[in-house]
Amino acid sequence: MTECSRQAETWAGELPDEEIVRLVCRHDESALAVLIQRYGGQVQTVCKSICSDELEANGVVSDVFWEFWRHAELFQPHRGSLRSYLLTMARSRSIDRMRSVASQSRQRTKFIDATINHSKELSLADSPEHRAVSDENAEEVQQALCQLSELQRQMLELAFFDGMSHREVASALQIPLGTVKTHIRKGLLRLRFLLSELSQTGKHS
Amino acid sequence: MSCDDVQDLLVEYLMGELDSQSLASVERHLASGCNQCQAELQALTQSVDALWQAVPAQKLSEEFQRSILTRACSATSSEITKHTTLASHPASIPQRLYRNPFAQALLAFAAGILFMMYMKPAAKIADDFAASRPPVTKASSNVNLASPQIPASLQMSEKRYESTQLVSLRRKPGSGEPRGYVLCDALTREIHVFCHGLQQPPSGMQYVLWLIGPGIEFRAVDRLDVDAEGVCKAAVRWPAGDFRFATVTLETSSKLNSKPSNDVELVSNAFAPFAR
Repeated sequence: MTECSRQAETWAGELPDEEIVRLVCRHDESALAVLIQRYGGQVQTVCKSICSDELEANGVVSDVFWEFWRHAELFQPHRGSLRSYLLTMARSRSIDRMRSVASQSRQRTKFIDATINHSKELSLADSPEHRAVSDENAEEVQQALCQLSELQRQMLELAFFDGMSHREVASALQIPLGTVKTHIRKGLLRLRFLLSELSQTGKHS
Repeated sequence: MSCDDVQDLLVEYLMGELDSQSLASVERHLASGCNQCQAELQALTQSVDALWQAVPAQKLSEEFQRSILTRACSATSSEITKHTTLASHPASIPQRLYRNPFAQALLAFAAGILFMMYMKPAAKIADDFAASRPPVTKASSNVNLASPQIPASLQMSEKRYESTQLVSLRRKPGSGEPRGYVLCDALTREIHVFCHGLQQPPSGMQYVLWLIGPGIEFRAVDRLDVDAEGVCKAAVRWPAGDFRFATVTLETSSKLNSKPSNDVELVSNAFAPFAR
């Protein structure tokens, strides 16, 4: 490991997201390096779940950070975390890419299952300190996901990780569009409720 | 739009999937101060944040991280004054790359390859457009970016065009050689304009970039400045809504009409064969 990458890892643990955004807005390249180190791995996971091959996925990963570098000022903290912003962008750009190449053979990696079964085997691109916090939160999310109904989990998976629109989910599952919208919304709200309960339980124990 | 209608759309709103009309309606409703919908949005935002947090991370190689950095930062290296808040730390990755002549040569070579790769699709798009628009002669549309009519400095910038779905260069029939082109980048939602050989606009006139199409009607998206050498370069955000043409015209600045005047000089014209 080079001195440079060791230094970047240290920064990755030190800098809060807000500070990274501020620095990227000023086109500070080191801040972008930290951002790639922190979220690049998750961005790639999302891209690979939607794109037909690794080459395409890597192209979209690169596009996401290129676009953020150019227009970091468009990020609005009140509309979600920086992670959500980047992963939503990754999802959206992957869909655009796949539509543009008219691919019919998308990989259907089941990422929620992958999350539940294998996340501890995958390395997060954070400093050890940051990784510990992320693992703890991710574990709670995994527990909450397990408590959703099978249908809700399936719909969330299709909508978030397979890159389907609500209409496409409805078509794939042969369920009315309105029902899909309701299930996804209620699934998300239940997820929040379950996370809140788990968090309370954790505090009391 | 009622609260129920808005709440039905909030997930798609967060995922960036709403069409421009629904997006405007939802934002209008949220801006009106509806506490119930704001609370619902906040709850859904937290859920989506949590869901994304659980996504496992792939291990990115150091080499791939470097390539992402190089590509992103090289796009604006000559345009933006860099700040060095963190760069005061020794030897950041991008700094080392920028100082490395071999890396610079490699980038230049890659840019050349990309340029060559996209010449043919660009010409094909222009041909398709010519075929669909009989008044435009093939000769006027079958011009690529390597045209000797375009100064070398404008033929390929350091910007990335691999996602560009359109590279077209046309003028109205009988109005002389093309003097510019408009590139619509579907991926980054940017529109790049390059024109050359322009006269400074006469007093009271200005060059204007228009988008024209069924989803957008006529929209003046930017006023363009011409430098001392008669060159105009601009990049604007692609606004919401479908469009079919991008065009640059010379207009009266005192009164910008709701659509391009019929008798204005057409500098460049581009065809966007895709919808948002």
